[in-house]
Amino acid sequence: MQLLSLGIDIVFSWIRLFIALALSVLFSIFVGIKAATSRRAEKVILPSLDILQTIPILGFFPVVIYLIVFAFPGFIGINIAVIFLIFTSMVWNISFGVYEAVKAIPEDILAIAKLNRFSKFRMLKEVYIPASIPRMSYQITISWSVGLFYLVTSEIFSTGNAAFSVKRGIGVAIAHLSLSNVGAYVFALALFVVAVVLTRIFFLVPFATFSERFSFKEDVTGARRSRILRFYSKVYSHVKRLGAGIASALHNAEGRARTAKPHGRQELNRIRRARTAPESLRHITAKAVAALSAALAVLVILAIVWSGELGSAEFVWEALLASFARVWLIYAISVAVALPLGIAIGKSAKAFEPVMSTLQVISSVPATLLLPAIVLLVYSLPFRGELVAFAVIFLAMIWYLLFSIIGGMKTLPKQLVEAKNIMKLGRISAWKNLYIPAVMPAFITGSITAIGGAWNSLIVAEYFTVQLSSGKSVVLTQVGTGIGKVIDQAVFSGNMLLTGMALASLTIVVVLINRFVWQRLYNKVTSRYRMEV
Amino acid sequence: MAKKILSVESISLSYGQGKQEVRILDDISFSVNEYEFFSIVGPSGCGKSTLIRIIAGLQSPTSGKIVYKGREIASPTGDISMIFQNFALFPWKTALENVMLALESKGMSSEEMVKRGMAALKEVDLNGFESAYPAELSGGMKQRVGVARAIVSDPDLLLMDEPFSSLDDLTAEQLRWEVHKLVKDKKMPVKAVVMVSHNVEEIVELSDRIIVLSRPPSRIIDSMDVKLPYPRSRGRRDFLNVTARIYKDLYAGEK
Ligand SMILES: Nc1ncnc2c1ncn2[C@@H]1O[C@H](COP(=O)(O)OP(=O)(O)O)[C@@H](O)[C@H]1O
Ligand SMILES: [Mg+2]
Repeated sequence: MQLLSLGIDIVFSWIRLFIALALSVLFSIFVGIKAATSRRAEKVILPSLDILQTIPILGFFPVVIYLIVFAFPGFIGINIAVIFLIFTSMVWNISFGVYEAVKAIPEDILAIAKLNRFSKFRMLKEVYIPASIPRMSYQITISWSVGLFYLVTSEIFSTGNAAFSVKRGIGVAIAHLSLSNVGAYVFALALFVVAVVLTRIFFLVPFATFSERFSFKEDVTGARRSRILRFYSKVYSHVKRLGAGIASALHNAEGRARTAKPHGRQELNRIRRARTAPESLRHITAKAVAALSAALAVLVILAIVWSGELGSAEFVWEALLASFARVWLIYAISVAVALPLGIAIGKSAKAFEPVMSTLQVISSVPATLLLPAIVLLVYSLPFRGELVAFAVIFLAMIWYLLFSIIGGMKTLPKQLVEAKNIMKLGRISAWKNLYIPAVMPAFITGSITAIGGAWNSLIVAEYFTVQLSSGKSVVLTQVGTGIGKVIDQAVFSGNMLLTGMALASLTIVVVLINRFVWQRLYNKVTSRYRMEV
Repeated sequence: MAKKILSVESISLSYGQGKQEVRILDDISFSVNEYEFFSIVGPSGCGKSTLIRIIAGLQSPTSGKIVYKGREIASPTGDISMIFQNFALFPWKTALENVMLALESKGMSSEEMVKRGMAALKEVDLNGFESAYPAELSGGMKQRVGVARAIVSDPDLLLMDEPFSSLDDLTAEQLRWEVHKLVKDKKMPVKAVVMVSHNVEEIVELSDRIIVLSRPPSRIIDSMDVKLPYPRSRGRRDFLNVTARIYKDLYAGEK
């Protein structure tokens, strides 16, 4: 009986997921291909995607629910809101994938299409879409896990207010069970994991296998290469192609180096100058970011002045500071766990497959579903609220870090490891000189996503209530202060000014950090640490 | 009688197990003498890289053993070095740092390491490029760094796996002679070279002794001494005789 009921809940949830996924794919195909094939569209689309994917969408959720349910009351509205939220968590990632895949289509293929005078529609059908399928498949696997998190979070979140509640859904069911019956809660969790595993077996893996035939790249090593590896090698070959001009310059440089030996250093300087090509796109994005931040900042200031509520501004900044400290402290701890663990897992060939499958299943359980269990665990401890927040943020972060580091290890060319062995580098030296530098680009990418996930998780980590069917609200977690808590409470108490101010401040901080800390770090690291396969 | 430095004794290697077992190397035996440039040629995929990795101690054979200077080896010894087809340079290290890495296990002072690293780079004509990162170097220059790294630690045995195959013809030609000069020069400590390649001309140009492998399961199907004087010119009849013999071996192995 309960099984049937939970089954129906899962079906409801999964329908939401698949609708969001289908919409994301459609959107990505349209926008990604447009950006990759038109210089003008690219200039608008790329910076927009870049900003959109950095915005802590979940923070907007209370507002989104409020607005959409206001427009479409009842069942329809709340479902649109949930699907919209899942969509926003899946779509940017897939769009970037499509964009990069289309950009990486070999010149020869485009030339053939041109020679045969392909129509726009045929280009789409025969070239662009097939070329994006492998990347799309890879991105969908990632988006799927992220979507799961957003699904259950938004479902549970909706229970915070009876008017907005999704009636059926696995997130709702689990939230309710967790408050009444531990056994049933565990059973429901297990069922959720089964559904995740089944989706993997019957949808994600077959799709990935199917997508492999669309890959341009022949398998050079003959050995089985992981999808992650192939994805990276494709990105590399793209980068390589861009560098073809540079390569020929280098070749000339070598010819001259041979004849003019003493001038090696001058040659090197010349090469370095040639390599720092301007990147107009980066400038555009920077400008867009600056404009957005400035606009938001002006709005915030206007709001403060207009309302005369300096007090609430101070309140918001205090909360932001607290959340900031929370996120970065837990980031530091997550790195300390994920870096050694990820490298060790990536290094060992034997343990790799079983460990990976296990981790993937564990990681598919969204932190929000574990929240009741965490609350129970730390119930009698001091700083309960902080501990729960800690656990939720940690779980929102750790998997991104761990999987990206493992992925980075998998791109490490075997020859470098062999060179290390031949030179008999010690264990410490090998980590310092080989493994840690090798995972750096992947680690930075993972950090960007992880921090993004952490900011998003604040909305549940810092303050979280579940409403029982009896109408009584139970506060599951609550910290002293934090931006997530402020947003939650502001929305449900109807204080739109405070909500807007908190959201704008959060967005400014997150977007600015992303642009001026992470992107810089990333550019720096990839220019040097990227492996040439 | 030349002194034996390396002997490869009945090496066999299979991948997979049971029904899925694929035998790659089948009972390979040979030995390499001091001051010998020894080469292994064979079709792509016949297991040349696998064999050279087994000699280096990077991989263990299914059966058989490698005896180096009278001792059996199972892991890298520290006085065998290797030049890789794709250079295998650490992208985040400069040319000099890459070369110095090969000295790290030798317990030297850092001044000594810098001094020897610079000397090795000079040896391969990379004066002034010590602070260059691999991405800033062309293929030929990268492989020069690879060569410098391989010789800086004064190895007794130098292994090369398709060392010139990633380079364009002209660069490869130039580097071949530089490497040849380095290893044939008795001032250099390198006592012997084992090179693997699928390029027949290159093999004949450089080697004192050649063995030819068949397709998997690979066996030695021919072996020969090449006594032609250096530098060897590819157009000469005696050179062509040797290449013709190897091509004939390889074609016969096809059937
Ligand atoms: N890990 C592995 N598992 C199974 N087969 C492998 C593995 N590594 C190499 N092989 C196979 O062994 C054969 C020999 O490879 P290799 O030594 O690289 O050949 P070569 O260097 O002569 O081209 C190839 O057919 C290759 O596909
Ligand atoms: Mg090989």
